[in-house]
Amino acid sequence: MFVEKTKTYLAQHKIRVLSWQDEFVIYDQLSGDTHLLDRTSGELLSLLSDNAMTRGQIQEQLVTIFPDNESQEIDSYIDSFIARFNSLGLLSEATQNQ
Amino acid sequence: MNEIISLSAKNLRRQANSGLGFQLGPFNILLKTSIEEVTQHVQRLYAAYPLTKDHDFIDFYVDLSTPSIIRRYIKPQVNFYFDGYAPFKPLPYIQAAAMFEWGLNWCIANHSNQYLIIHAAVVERNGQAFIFPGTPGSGKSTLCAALINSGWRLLSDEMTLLSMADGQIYPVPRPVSLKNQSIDIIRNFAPNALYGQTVKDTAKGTVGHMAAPERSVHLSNTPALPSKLIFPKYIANAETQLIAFSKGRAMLSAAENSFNYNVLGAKGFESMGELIGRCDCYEFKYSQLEEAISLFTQMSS
Repeated sequence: MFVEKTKTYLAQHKIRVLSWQDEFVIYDQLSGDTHLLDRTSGELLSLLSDNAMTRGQIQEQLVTIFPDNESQEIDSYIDSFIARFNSLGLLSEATQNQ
Repeated sequence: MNEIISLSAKNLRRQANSGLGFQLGPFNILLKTSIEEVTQHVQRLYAAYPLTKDHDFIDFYVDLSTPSIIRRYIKPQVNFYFDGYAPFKPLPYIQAAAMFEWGLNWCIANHSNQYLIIHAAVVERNGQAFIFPGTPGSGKSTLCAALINSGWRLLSDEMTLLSMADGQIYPVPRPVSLKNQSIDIIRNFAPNALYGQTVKDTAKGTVGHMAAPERSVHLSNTPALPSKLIFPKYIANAETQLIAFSKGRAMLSAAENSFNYNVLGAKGFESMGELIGRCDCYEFKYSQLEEAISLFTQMSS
């Protein structure tokens, strides 16, 4: 049987989230750091704290949030999102068998 | 209940020598000192504070004394002790009363983690607490001193104690610490208020203290609900400007101005979030105290 390895992304489970209008404030219980995020990053990170998602699934979510955006823009957003939150320790990468 | 004013100067000195217990909002203090400047400071600026009873629990045992006999005569110095431990280097003797105030700030800020403590002045009118966080030089104490001389109640000029149990702000009304130009500004604004000794050349410049209004001291056991979170900035000749501040940014700024947000972890985050959710948040630029008072009085009506 063919086994495909797909990278998934998961927010640290130990985050707490507060939101007001377009702002999200995230508390990382692991580091004790507090972050101020825009609505898109905050919503995405909240989704990822519930379920690990593949890049494709993240893309699907973003298309529903930004239906008018070009896929290239969404791709670039995902790249910067992953890089930023990886470096902050708020996102972990996992390799999962499918 | 007996207050410090009920003690004669002689009795106050005698009690301070063995330990003078008094209530400071939710805390009981036992002050031990034979330094005349400190007992005079207490007699003048703490007259309305209730004395503790013999078996009351004491939160903070503080002691101000000279480090050695030699230091009483040559370049005299004073030490602040908390539970027998000296957390600071000694200061010049002339700064003894100021050191008492700074030492008490340290005691409360470092040993009261039942509260989320924000470095902020907090005053109340019509049941609404207005919180003014700010770094030194922001003008928070000047604003606070002017407001409490215009009918507002003082909860604190230095530390906002937000209870994590009920979300209310608990008063710890102490003498207002004024620095440099703000000493003369407030003396002119409120000539009838009670002032302590002015001391020059401290690490904070020239410092002086103004007594908390008696009514505020008598309401020390009455908490208030937070209503407004206002980040003040005194700018010479600036027009009065109140600018809405987003809640997310206000939360980060308030956290930066907190003494123990990082110590409290997730509980601190939740409490800060509740505070921000409850308050309207603003940035405030000012140079005219009368305009500031008029604006805040209108906002609290």
